[in-house]
Amino acid sequence: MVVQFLFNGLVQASIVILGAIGINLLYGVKKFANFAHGDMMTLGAYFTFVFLGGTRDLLTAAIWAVFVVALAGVVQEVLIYARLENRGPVAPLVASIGVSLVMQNSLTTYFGPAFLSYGIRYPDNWVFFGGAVSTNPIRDLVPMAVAASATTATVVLLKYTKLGKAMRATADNRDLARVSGVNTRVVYWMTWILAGVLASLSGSVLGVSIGTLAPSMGATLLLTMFAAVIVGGIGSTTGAILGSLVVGLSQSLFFLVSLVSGLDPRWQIAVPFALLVATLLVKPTGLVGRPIGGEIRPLRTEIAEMLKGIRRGLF
Amino acid sequence: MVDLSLVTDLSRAWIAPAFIFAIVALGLNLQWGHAGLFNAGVAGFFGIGAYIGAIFTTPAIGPGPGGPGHLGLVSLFAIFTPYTVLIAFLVGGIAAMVVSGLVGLLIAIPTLRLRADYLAIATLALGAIAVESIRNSDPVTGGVYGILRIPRPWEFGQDVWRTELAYAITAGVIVLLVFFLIQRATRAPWGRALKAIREDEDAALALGKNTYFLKLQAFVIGAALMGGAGALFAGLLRVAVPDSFTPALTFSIWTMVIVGGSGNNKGVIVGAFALTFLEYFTLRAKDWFNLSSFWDIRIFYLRLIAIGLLLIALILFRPAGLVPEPRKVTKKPWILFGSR
Repeated sequence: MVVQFLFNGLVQASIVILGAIGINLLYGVKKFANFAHGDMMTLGAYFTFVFLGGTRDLLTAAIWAVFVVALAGVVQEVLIYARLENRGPVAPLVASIGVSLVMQNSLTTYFGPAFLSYGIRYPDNWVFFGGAVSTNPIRDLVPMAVAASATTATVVLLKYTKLGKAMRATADNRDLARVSGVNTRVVYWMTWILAGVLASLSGSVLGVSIGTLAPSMGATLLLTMFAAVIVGGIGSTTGAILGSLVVGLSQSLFFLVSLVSGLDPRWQIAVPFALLVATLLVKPTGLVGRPIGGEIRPLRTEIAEMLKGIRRGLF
Repeated sequence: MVDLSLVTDLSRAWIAPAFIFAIVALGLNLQWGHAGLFNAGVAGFFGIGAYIGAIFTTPAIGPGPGGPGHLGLVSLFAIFTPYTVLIAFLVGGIAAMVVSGLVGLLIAIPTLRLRADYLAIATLALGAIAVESIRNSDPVTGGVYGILRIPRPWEFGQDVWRTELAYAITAGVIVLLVFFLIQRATRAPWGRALKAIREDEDAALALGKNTYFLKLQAFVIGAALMGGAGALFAGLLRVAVPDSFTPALTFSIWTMVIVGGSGNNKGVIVGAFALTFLEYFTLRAKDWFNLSSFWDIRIFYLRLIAIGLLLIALILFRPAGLVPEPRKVTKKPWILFGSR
């Protein structure tokens, strides 16, 4: 049974992973937390639904949706985020909240608040290891395959291509990259395209995996994705992958624990939050993260500072 | 003869909520406008306050939907007189402020030392978790059914308009009180130190300010204000259900602060009235314009789209808000060279 739960955790993680890498890329290159990322996933899922009406083929529909979401990413960059370049991390964050509201509610206005479905007929479960793992080939294995291949492709792209090198250079030091001849504007566009492609894929995969589409489907995953990004370490792709695995596996392990101990399984949603807070408390840079902007003082110093403040009065 | 149903409707659906959201917005303005702390979990603090207030005041009505066992301070005093309700209401409000403030303290301690967006992510998560925890703790909060029949001071029985107006006036008086306190605090050296932190934390640190503790105070006081407003809100609606505290609420409060001009306490109250009127308008639009049932459902989403577009437009073109915070230049420049 433990194996089954670990397996479910991998399925969970494979959906989170695609979104988390996108958030991480945007955080690294554009230096802000994109609160609209969940809604970009929803956009992908809904456009897959739209194109499914025309093509009758889920794979083709998902690929068309990828183009739409990537385009949406570039449009956002050109219209909004390019103008907020030197305004610190919070201005683009607030703008992304606006984008999130617009995207989610436009989808709700157009498609209505009710659930939609791709209308897939799921085949019977496959059984492995003499009944230890039972899995549905479409519901579980497709998400894992998509996540594995897309993640590998992204890692290869970042590591071995000229574009990936330019992206990493821009993430490290924008001005230095610019004076070294990197066209940072194109890098920004490509980052949005890459993040959009991954978000759209994870949206479609999410729709396939849970079987229904709702306007808030991506936004509810936002917390889990942010937890994965922070647990793994902001600014590192390896970190996003590791973080997603940690979060996904611990969520499904919590399910197992709740079965054994009689805890209410609905508290599963608190697992990513607990991991996030624990990471911020113990090691804010995450598992493999690089140092983040500014010096981080140990928590002990901060609490001592607070107590000193309380003793001395308000100042 | 004035149409009294209009008084009821306006005070219940616009004036009282506007005052309550003005308190929340003032709290957020203290955190964001004055100290530069990004709180993306406003709805969470507001919801915690609402539930704590409701739990403290509402008597238990037994098991079943809407009937969890509460403290029910009202029922502690064997007789229901308006004064006992008032006492329970005050105690509930203070408890709401204390609990919200404590939650704020717990989330602020690990995150305030990091970059601004870490606080944003942590509070976003906190907001989501607070509402989920409320939804999941059925024995205490009534789960998805929530807490019903929350008592409220100043009931006038048949005269509904008088009851509603009295509550709106109560909220208004509290807003005035909070406004003057915050206005005074932010003009005092304390508020000026906060502004210094917002503009340049390292400089404030170099001047010997305990920036971490100052930020912590601003965050906790802001969170406590949100909690207190939550308790007022529970009294206004007379029910507390988890679905009232969605991220969309957080973002409309944000829009109130940004419309009003972050750092501008008066502007923020105006922003609260404007945005709450937008909500009131979408609620009543179907009566005023006889909309088709298609748009009748969708006008709520259109409001949120409008808020999103407003946020984007403001952050792009008017980052200081429609009524920017006035720039203060000291009339006594020599104090810059004196000692503290």
